[in-house]
Amino acid sequence: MTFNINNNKSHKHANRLFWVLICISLLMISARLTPTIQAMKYLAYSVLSPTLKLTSDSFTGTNNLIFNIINIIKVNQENIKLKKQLLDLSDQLKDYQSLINDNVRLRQLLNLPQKNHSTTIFANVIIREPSQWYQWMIINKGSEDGIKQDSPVIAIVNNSQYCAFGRIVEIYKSTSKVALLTNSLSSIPAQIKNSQIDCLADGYNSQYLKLNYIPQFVELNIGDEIITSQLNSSFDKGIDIGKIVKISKTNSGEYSDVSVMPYSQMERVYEVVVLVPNEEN
Amino acid sequence: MYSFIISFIYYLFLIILQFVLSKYISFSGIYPNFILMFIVYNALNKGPLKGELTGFLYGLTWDILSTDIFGIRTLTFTIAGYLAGKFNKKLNKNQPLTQVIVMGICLIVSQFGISLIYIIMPNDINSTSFELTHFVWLSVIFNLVLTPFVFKILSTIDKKLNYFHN
Repeated sequence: MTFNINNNKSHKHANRLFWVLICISLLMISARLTPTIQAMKYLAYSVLSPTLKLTSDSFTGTNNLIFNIINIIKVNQENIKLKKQLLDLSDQLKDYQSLINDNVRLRQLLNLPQKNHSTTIFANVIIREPSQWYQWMIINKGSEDGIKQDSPVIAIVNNSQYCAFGRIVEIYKSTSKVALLTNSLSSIPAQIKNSQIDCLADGYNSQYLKLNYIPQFVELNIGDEIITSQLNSSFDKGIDIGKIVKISKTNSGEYSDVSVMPYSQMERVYEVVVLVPNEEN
Repeated sequence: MYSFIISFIYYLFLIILQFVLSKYISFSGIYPNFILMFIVYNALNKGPLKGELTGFLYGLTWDILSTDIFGIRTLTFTIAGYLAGKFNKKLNKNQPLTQVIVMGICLIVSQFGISLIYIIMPNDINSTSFELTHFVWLSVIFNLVLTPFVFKILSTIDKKLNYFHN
């Protein structure tokens, strides 16, 4: 009998507390954009993130140690190969430098604005939550490293290939949150490589991007490469985005329905580069 | 004090397991939802009061770390914890089938809750992004298959901790 009374009391408490917690949650959802809630979120994040950063760094350190041992074995062979490449590239660099000088001179003659220059900041991914794999991730560089809001983020895949990955949406002292290209909040001007067709690559929380505003008369092929367009305000022109994997043309409507697989989704991304625009730009 | 320390260790371990280790072992976004499993386990064993409190705390942490609508997981995990807690004395919680069914209900409730909030708040994010894709279903099935094993591990740890405490 006593047990039943206690049990009923406990259930009553649970029910009351449940409604209180539900009210708090709903209040948080409805007031999520107010400065007070944002400040509380920021404060809580600042308390939590050092532990996660420390753990992530120690895992990365262990991983790196294993990779380093393997790499040392390969380094000698690569060194010989790279020395040969270096000789070839130094010749190419001379040509490239003279082209840059020509470009600057001609731009000055035509009164065109100089190209944007930015500082590159290398960062490691510390958190990428699987159920929101295509939405966001957290990197180990923040405001104290010079990261700025909306800076473009580039992924390093296949050891050396660079491709567009996302942009900085939230900055903290030593960490930043990156909204990926595949996030439904993301949308970047793109171009089909080797053509002048501009379009818009939209994320929709899946592994693919949707290419919008490509007229139906434009001939596309599976495997066509997509790069960033010069209409882009954050990324420089010509950065790889991905490859076309699906094209469907409808009888009605004037645009093709095109899906793109981003290079950054084809393999795991552990390191990224943040391009922070220089102050004078 | 003892139970507070244990809860804190569980909390740190689960947050690290869910958010840090996932980047090494998940496959295209398919990774077990260990946090929800723990909420359901706690609720099934300790009742709705502990279940909803665990759900609220872990949901809040998830919201702090994510860029999603703030409060979305606090709400859905609290509901999941409360619901699972309601089965506390009504079912045989040691049976794997019971665990899978309760976990299934909680997964569907939390997924449905998240989708519903996105539909209600179309200004935040494009609502078409929350269709139930095959990834969502694969992830649900993966979680359900793993549930009895995770519950077994948690129950073994609980038994050991109780033994040392007594």
